[in-house]
Amino acid sequence: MMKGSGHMEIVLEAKNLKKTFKLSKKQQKLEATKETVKVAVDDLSFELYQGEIYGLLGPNGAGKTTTLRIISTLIKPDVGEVFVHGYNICKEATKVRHCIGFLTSELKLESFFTPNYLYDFFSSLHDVDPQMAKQRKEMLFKKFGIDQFAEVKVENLSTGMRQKVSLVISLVHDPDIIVFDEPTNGLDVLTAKMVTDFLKELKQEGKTILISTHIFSLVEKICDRVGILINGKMILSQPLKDLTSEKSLEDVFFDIYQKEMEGKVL
Amino acid sequence: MKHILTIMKKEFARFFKDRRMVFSVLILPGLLIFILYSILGSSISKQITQENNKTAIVYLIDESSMIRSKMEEIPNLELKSEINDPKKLDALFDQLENKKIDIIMEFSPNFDENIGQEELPEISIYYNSSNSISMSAYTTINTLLDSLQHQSLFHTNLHSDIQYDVASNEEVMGSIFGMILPFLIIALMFSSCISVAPESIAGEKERGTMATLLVTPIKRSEIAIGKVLSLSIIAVLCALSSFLGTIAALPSMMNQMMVDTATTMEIEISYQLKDYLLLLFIIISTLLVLIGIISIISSYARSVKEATTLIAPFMILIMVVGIFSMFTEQNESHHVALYFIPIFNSLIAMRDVFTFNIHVLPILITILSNFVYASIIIYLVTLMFKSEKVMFGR
Repeated sequence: MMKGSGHMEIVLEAKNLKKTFKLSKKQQKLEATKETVKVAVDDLSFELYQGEIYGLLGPNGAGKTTTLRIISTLIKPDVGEVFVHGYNICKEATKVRHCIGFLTSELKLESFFTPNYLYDFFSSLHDVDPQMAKQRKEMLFKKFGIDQFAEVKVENLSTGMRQKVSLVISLVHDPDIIVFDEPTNGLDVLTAKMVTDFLKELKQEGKTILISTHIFSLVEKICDRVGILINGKMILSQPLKDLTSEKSLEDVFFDIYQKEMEGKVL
Repeated sequence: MKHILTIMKKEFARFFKDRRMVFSVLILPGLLIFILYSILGSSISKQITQENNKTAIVYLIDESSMIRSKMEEIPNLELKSEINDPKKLDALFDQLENKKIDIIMEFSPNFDENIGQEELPEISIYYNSSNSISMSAYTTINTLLDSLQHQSLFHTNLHSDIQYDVASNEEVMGSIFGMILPFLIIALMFSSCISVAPESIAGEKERGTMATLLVTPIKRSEIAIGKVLSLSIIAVLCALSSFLGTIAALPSMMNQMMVDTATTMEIEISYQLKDYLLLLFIIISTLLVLIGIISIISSYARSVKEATTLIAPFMILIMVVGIFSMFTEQNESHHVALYFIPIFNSLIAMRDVFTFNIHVLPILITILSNFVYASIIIYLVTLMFKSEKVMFGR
């Protein structure tokens, strides 16, 4: 099991994932293609080790979000398998959902409710012991300053406040694996810093974190390993320090991207 | 089960903590139905009063002095006597058909002497149902004869082969209640369902809050069942509001109409507890079907707007079914199979209750088949919640 991050247990393994979506005529027009099917993820394989932060890097439409949605059991792959702590995401989705905390911009909170109500509601759905839930809520609310607006309806909160609440709620069940899609997108610098620091803390606690982003600086700051995803394919998956020994991550990425595009044209 | 309850609690919190929603969904329908029915009742009674105030011309052929003396007590009846002459009778029947006169009462020979005897005497009452004055007078005279407990003294309109209603080409309309109320109740229930279901299902999809629920470890069937059940309970409460509005308005509406019709005579015609209970069961079972159908549409839709658009044709269908049910002839030969048709069964079953034409089997079929349809629909909603294409695709 030695790979990049030393002797570590594999907690998540994706094997030969493929996901296609049918394109409507409207989508065909928008994407200027006559293809009726779009391959979002193509033969994608990678694994996550216990306690690492893995960054999925790629341009828009590369298949990052689709990959994360498959892992979080929201959608199923056409081909391939994903195992989380040995559980098959298709056959044992409920067990997988107990192990994963998923946060993406497409997951929203009901604006009518308060952070306090929503935390209790999701704790209950995750079968968290009420006493444990209470203690964890106090800790997380205090850490992110949510206790200041715990009884204010989500509809009256700012974007940054809502993002904090979403983040906390994705962690109500203290998951081992945390999957964040663009975790700092749309956040002000202070909240973004708070989130980045929190991800580091989670790593120190032994949590495994998978993030998707197109922000190079975020990957350089916190990731142990990086996977570069272009047109649904995993072009490379390496430890960050190996990739950036000679060039910056940004330069490495654009070199790879250019080669891929040239290859595609040829 | 615990998760279903958690989902239901959340749905209730979402509903009951929103004062505007509680008012528009729970209080307003009952209030509206009460006001609407009260206005309807007073306008119908006004119309009947106007008809009663018009004098009806009643021809008594070979009259009974006993009946005549009783009829003279009723205002707005102009009584005219005539002997039984075939030529004159033909002329009178022509006048009845042409609405020149309103009633012909033909008494059997030696009527007064034969009252209460072994062979009871007969009265044939001819009327014209296309003439409102004739109908009103006919109702009044019948009420009078009923009050005389005539069945033991004499017969009225005894022969089934004789057409007493001369308006033979006119379709005899069913009772006003039976015609209008079921349709109004279904329309109100439908509007209540529309105000809660699309928001709770399509709204959650649109806002992205459904995805947040779907990544939790609870089964998708638990989310579907929790939602449909809680929405049904809210809709049942809403239906109760409509129901309370109805029972609050009905007695006064009925009494007003009956007193007006029967003028000075006291008639006690009102719905019994069993009628209300039957109505309640029909309403609840219908609501489950309605909320289920709207839940399916809302699950399929990507937004509340799309759901509302998709529901519109269904609403038109309900309207058509409602209007169709109004003109479906109501008699005992009603085919039992009709009571298996969803929505239509509820409309005709409610009409049966309103018109005191209750038969146990059709009502039972209506209620039970509605519960079966609701269960199938809940299963379909569960399948839709499990479908990636429905929840995220399209």
